[in-house]
Amino acid sequence: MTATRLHGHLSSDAVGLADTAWMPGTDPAERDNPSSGFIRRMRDLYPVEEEIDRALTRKMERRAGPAYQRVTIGMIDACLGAMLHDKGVREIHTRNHRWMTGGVSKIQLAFDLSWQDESGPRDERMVIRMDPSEGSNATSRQREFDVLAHVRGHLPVPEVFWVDPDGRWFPEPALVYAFAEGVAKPSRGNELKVSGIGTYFPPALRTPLAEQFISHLARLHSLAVDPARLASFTLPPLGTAESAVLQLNRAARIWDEDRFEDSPVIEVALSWLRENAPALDHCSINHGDYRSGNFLFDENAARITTWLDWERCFIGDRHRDLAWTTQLSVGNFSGRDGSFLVCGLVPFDEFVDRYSHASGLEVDRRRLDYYRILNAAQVYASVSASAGRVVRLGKTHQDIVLVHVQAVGAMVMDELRELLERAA
Amino acid sequence: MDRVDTALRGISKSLRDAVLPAVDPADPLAQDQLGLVVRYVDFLRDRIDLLHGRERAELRYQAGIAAILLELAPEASAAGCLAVLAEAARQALADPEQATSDIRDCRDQLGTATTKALRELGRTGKARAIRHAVLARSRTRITRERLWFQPLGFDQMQADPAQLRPLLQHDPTYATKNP
Repeated sequence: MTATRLHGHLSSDAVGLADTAWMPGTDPAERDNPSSGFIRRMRDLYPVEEEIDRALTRKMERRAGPAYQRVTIGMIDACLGAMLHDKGVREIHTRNHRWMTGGVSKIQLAFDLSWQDESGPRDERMVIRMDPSEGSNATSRQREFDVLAHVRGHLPVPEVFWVDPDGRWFPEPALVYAFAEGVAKPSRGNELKVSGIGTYFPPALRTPLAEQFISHLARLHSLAVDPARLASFTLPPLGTAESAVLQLNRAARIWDEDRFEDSPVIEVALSWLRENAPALDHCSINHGDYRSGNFLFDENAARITTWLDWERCFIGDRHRDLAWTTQLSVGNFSGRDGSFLVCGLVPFDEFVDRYSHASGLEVDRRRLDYYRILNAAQVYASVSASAGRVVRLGKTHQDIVLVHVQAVGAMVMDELRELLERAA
Repeated sequence: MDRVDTALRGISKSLRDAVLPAVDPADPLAQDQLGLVVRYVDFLRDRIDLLHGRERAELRYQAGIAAILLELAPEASAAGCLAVLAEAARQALADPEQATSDIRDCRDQLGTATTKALRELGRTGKARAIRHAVLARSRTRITRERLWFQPLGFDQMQADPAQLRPLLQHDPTYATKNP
């Protein structure tokens, strides 16, 4: 069995790091204004899932285009109206628009929408989630739409209504889903935090939130995968390393497409990852960014109301999610005697034990270490290379946020170095 | 006489005292971003005198990686190019008149050559030895970078900010080999 819906051809030697006859140089124009040859070489060197290839290729083909232009509420309203009209939705009225903050890469506008469908008049609080001209993560709104529809009923997620996967109606790809109530971080103790990274939770909130945090992840990873409902995803074959290689290729491709400067540590990391890609034992839906900051909760009831930001979701090895959730940069040291808490909620060993018990799935420490290294390399590529490139070209609505996010790079690289020294 | 520090201090104060209170409270995007702008201006003011030293430290680091590769794999196809660029780096670091941009260009060229060599050697029997040497050589550089960005508030590392300046001047682990 081989992976389906895959750009290029994967083999055991397909990670793409072998071709030393050609590699991008330091000329900024090479990446700021990539030629069709550059784009083709990236695609050939680093085969990834078909939908991811589409997103990354779109990013590169549009890179030399204009900087981000401020989008107004009126413009978004007009785009929404055109899309809903074409989709047969009638008697559309919007009101109470407000810009949302909190994310790093997407433009989000909340509003109230009334319309008419076959069941009668509808009235919902909604969110439009749209790409900027280029974000620090090139991802797929179609995949976000598909996975939200798939997991709804199993996990608390917003109801999704419409998607514009290719920017046919909106300036960029966009998703429309129901507004969810809740807060992303406790009201006190996080004044200087950006985007939920390193969120502090007071002890009274930790126990109830940790219980839900772990059980939701266990449920997601053990959920049956329905390929027909997840058509924008690649289903990697069991018993091979393709699941790991697809994720590795994605990180390596982004690194080569976006970086400003070379990094010997990233190079030895990619080399080690290519040598040690593990086989897949179970296909899980991975959230892709499962951490504090990406769930909303009711602070009084201590209840998780919604899981957000599914843009990095994929089907593959659960250890990718587990490693992501437990990385140092999204946790903190607010436990007893300054000990580390996963996402600021629960000690690591307790997290692993409770997850295994709830999911019935093994946690393999070697694979966890592998994906920790892969995640650290991928995060470094995103916060250092992609975020920097996007700011340089003025491609987003919040370039200053991405300027700050780049400061995470050194911390992530230290984690990567430590992990590699232990593993290599 | 340079007044950049004073100018940045003035910019920060104007943004905090005059602009921030005038921003629409109903526009959280503008409120949040202005706060981040002020924080980065303050960070820049704190670091501006050290920017040249940081570029030199980065070049010194890349030269250290090149030295590792030349020692462990002199037969690599990129070795000749690496040796030439490493010598250029040595000369650049020895010249106090070198502009920051020249140091950076030198670093970029050497970095590209080391990447090419690492990709070639990453598939050989020497990969493991090179990996360990590169990681060991990178420790000080990474600590220096963490210290550099510490004022922005992401890093929970317990470290004395005064450690930064010495690390910009030399890598204590390899001090005898530093230009």
